Amino acid sequence: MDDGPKNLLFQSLWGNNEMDAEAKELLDGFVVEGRENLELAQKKLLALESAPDPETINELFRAIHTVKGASGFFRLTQLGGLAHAGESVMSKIRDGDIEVTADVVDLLLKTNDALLQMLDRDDLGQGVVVDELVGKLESALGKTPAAPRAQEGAVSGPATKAMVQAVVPVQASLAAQPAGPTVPAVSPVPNVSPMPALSSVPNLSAPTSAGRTGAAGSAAPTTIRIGVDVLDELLELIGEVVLGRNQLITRHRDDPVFKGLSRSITRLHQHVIRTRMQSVGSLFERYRRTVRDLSQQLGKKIEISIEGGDLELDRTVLEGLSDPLTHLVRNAVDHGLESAEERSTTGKQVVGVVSLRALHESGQVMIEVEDDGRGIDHERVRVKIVEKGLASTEEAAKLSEKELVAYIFHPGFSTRDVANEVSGRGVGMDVVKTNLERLGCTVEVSSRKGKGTLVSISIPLTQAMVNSSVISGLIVGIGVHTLAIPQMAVNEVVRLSGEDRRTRIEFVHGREVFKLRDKVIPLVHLEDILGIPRTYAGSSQPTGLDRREQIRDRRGNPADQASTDRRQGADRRQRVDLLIVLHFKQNWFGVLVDRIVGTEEIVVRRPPELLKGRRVFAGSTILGNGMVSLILDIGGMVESAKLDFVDRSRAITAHMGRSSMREVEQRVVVFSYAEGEYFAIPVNLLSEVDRCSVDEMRRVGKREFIQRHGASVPLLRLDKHLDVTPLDLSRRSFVVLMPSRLAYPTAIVAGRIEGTIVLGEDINTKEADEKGIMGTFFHEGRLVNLLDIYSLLQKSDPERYRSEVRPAIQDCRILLAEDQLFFRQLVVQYFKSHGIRSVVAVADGREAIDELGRNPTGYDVVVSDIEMPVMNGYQLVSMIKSDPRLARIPVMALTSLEGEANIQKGFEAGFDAYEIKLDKDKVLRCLDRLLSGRATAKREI
Amino acid sequence: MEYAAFLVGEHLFGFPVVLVQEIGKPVEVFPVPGHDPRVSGLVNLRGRTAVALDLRRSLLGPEHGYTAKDRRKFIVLETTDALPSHAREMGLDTHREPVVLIVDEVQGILDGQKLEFHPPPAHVAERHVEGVMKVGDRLMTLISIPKLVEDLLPRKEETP
Repeated sequence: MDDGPKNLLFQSLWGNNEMDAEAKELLDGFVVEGRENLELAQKKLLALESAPDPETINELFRAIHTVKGASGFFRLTQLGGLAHAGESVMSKIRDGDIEVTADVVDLLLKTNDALLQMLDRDDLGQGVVVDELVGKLESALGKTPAAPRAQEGAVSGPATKAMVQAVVPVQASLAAQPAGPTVPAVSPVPNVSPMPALSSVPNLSAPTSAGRTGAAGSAAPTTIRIGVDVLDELLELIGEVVLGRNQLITRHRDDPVFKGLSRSITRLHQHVIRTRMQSVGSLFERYRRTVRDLSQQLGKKIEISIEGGDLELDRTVLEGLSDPLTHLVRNAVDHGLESAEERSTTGKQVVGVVSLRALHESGQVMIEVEDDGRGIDHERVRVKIVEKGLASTEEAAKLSEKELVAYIFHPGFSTRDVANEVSGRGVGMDVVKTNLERLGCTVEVSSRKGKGTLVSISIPLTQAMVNSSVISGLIVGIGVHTLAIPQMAVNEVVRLSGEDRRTRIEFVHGREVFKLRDKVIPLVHLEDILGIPRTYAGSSQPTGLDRREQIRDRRGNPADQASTDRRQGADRRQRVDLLIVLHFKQNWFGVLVDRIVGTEEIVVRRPPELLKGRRVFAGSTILGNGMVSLILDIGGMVESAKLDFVDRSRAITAHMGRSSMREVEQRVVVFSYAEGEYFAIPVNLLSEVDRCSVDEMRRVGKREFIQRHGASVPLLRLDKHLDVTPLDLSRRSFVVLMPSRLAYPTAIVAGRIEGTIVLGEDINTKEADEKGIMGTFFHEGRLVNLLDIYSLLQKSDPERYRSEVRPAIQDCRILLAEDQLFFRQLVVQYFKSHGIRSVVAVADGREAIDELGRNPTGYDVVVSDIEMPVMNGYQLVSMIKSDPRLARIPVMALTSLEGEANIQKGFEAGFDAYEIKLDKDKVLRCLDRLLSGRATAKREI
Repeated sequence: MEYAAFLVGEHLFGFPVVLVQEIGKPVEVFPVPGHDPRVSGLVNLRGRTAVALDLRRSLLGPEHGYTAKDRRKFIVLETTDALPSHAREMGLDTHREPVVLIVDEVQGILDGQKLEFHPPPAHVAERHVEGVMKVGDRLMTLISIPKLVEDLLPRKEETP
C-alpha cells in the first residue's frame, strides 16, 4: 500500500520529519482495531433496537470509547470529536436518560458509518467536516448545537447536507510538505487495507515502505507476512512432534539416527517458538510517547520508568495487552498523578512517575502499572457505590478496602464525575478487565490514598508462553491422578516421617501450618485444591485430618498419650507424606501429595476449552510414557486453596524505591492472654508459633522452661512483667511465640491465637507509657496492645539483655532514616531502651541528607533503611560518602532485603555495615564496631 | 443425509455421520480431578489431547456412567475446522477442539431419506435433542453435538 499520504498526515500531526516504523505500526494497528470496534458497534446497534439489554449497551459503549481514546492519542480531532459526541449519546442511553428509539439508533448508525468512512481515508478523517452530525448528536442530548469548530490544520469547507459527502481534503497542511508524493485533491478511495495479521505479528509484517526506501540497493524483502492461523498450526504440529519424540526416547536412546533427528527437532521447535515471541519492552516503549504527550497536554511533570522489558511473551498476548495498558497508562497520567503544584504542596517529588514492570512469578508473568499519584479515595468509592445504587448504605459500609477497589471495574463506574478527552467517564476499567479476562489474565488493583495506585496483571503460564513451549515439570501423583507442577515454582520437596508429622505440622484456627526451618508456612492438601476426596493410604476415612486435630488437642493428657501414639502409628505409618514447598509472589506454601513420579521436560499445551473454568489447571501435556497429564497453575492453586497472601513481590521488584507502595503493610499476630486482653507482635519478628502442654514445662526456681530444638528455652509470662491479668494455665495447653533472631531464645506465653491482621497506621503510642508496650490500637472493637518485645525481654532479664551495651554507645548520636512509621518507632524505642539518648528519626533519604546538611557534625552514625520513597538508602549513602563533610560518618543499612546479592549491592553502594531487620543484638554489636572504628569491610551476617 | 447410529445404554441415538472422524476401541482415559463427571477425562489421540465425554452420563443421567469394565466404543469427532465444506454449508458443527464420545456400541450408518423424521416430543426439554427418527420399530434420537458440548462449557463469570 502507499504510505505517502499517511506519512504526510503524520508529519502534520506529530511534526516529525519522517514517520518512523514504530509510529506507522501504531497507526496501522489503530486503523485495524478501529475498524473492528466499529464493526462490532454496528452489530450491537442493530441488536440494541430489538433488545436493549445493559450488556449490549456496555459493549457498544466500550467499542466507541476505544475509538475515541485512540483518536485522542493520534490527535485525530475530527474522528475523536465525532466519536465523543456519539459516546455521549450512548452514555445517556446507558443511564436511561435517552430512550432507544428508531431515530436515535438511526443517528448512531449514521455516526458509525461516518466513523468507518473516516477511518478508510488517507487522512483518517482529518479533512472531513463533522459539525452537522455532531450537532445532531448534541441536540439528541438536549444541548444546543455548538458553533462550527475551527478546523485544526484543515480548510473547513461549508457544511453540506450529508457529512459523508462533504469531503474536504487537508490541502493546506499537506501541500506545504515538500517531500512525498502529491495527495490527490479528493481522496475518498479507501486504500488503507485492513491487515488482520499485522496486529498480532508486527515484526513479520511486510516492509511496505522499507522496500521502497531501500530501492537504491537490495530489492528482496527480509520479512514476509504470514497468517496467524498458519503459525498456530505449525506450533500445534511441532508440539505433537516433540511429544512423539519424547515418547520414543526411551526406546531409541542409543540410536545415532534418532539422536540426530532429536537434535533437529529440538532446534526446529526453538525456531518455531521464536516466531511467536516478542519482548515486552517493544510494547512498553510505546508508552513513552503516550506519557510524554499526555503530560504535556495536561501540564503535568511525569516520568516513565520501565523494568523487565527483556521478558518475552507470545505476540498475540502482547498485542492483546496493548489496549488495556494504554487505558491504564492514560488513567495513571490523567487521574492518578497530580499536577506539579499539587505534588509540591503535599511534599512529594514534583515529578510524578508511572512505572511499567514485567516480571516472572512462579511460571506466571506479572505486568504492573504503578503511579505514585494521589491514589484511590476509598471513602469516595464507598459514596459512589451507594449513589449508583450498586449497594445499600449498610452493605457499602461493610466493604473492605480490597472490595471497594474492586468496584472500579464495574461498568459505568468512575470516581471522576467529569468526562474529558483523555480518559473517560468510567468506561475504561471495565474495558480493561473484560479485555484482560478474554486473554485469560486476572487484574488486581491496590491503592493507598495519597501514595499511589498499583495495577497488577497476572498472565497465567500457558497464556504468557507460546503454545507448545517446553518447561521443566515436577510430576506428582495424588490418588489415581498424575499432575505436573512447573518446576520454577518449586522451592523444595520435604519427605515427612511420622515424627515430622507430629512435631512439624500444627493447627492455627483449624488450618494446618508446617514449620520449615524459621518459617511457618500454610499447608494445603492437593485433594482440597482439586476438589476431590482426600486419600489416605490404609485409612478409608476421609476425616483423617479432623482426628489428627483432636489428637493434638488431647495430647496434653498423659492418660491419652499411649493410645494416641498407637493410633497415630496405625493410620499413618503406611503413608509417606510428601510436601512440595511452592512459592507464589514471594510467599511460600506447602502442598501434600501422595507420590512424586519425577521431573520431565514437558510440552505445555493450552487447556482444552471444556476445562477453561478451572483456573487451577494451566494446561495439559502428554508425558514420555504417553499419559495425558494436567499442568497445575500456581496462581490458581493459591486461589483455590483460599490463601490470602500479602503481595510481597513489589518489595523485591522496585529496588530503586521511587514508589511508595511497597513495604507499607505490617502484619501482626494478635493473641489473647487472659480472657479479654489482647496483644500483638509483628509477624516478621517471630520465628515460630507452637502449642505447648503444661506437662512440658519445667521449673528451675522461679523460672520456667520448655524444651525446643534440643535446648531449654525460658518462658516469658506477660503478667510477670506487665500490668495484666495472669493467664490461667489449668487448661493444660497454651501457645508459645518464639521471637526470631535472639541471641538467647525466649518463648512468650500466649493464651489463644486470634489471627494475623494488617496493622493500620492509627496506633496510639501516647498512652503506652509502660515499658514493653509500644502502643495500642483497636481491632474489631477490641483494644490490642502492641508489644515491644525488646524492652519486654530486657525487663524480663535485665542482666542478660543489657550486658553488651557499652556506655560509649549510650552517648552516640544516631540519625535514623526509615519510612515505615512502625519500624521507625520500634527502632527508636529499641535504641532508647538501651540508654542511647540521642536518636533523631526521619522518613526518607532526602530528609536525612537535609538534616545532615544542616548539622554535619551532629551525628556519629547513620542507620538507614534501603527501600524508602523519595530517596532510597543507596542514594543516601552515596551522597553521604561523596560529601567531604559527611564521608567520615559510618552508615549502617538496616533493611529487610536479605540475600547475598543484596548485601553485596549494599556494600558496593557504600554502606559500612549491613544488618537485617531486626536482629537487635547484632544491630547493637554492629553499632559498637562502627563507633570503635573497627567496622569497615568487616561484616557479621 | 446419512446418520451414525449408536447405542447408549439400551437407547438408540444418532447424528450426521459426516461429523465422525473415526471409530475406535477404548484407549486409556485420564480423568480430570474434580471435574464434571460427564467429562470422562482426557485421551491421547496420537499426540493430540482430546476430551472424552461419557455419553451415558450426558444422555441418561449421572448414575449411569461407564466403568473401565464396560464394553465401549470411542467415536472421535472431526473438529469444526476439519469438517468438509458441504457439512459446513448445511450448518453442521462439532467443536473447535478434538472430542471423543464414549458410547456402548456403534450400530451402523443409516440413510436419513428412508426414515421418518419427527420433531422433538413436546415434553422433552433437553436442548440437545433435535428430533426423533423411526428405525424399523425402534426410535432413534437425533442429538446436536454443539449443544451437547455447549452444556459442558464453563459458564461466563459474573462481574461483581
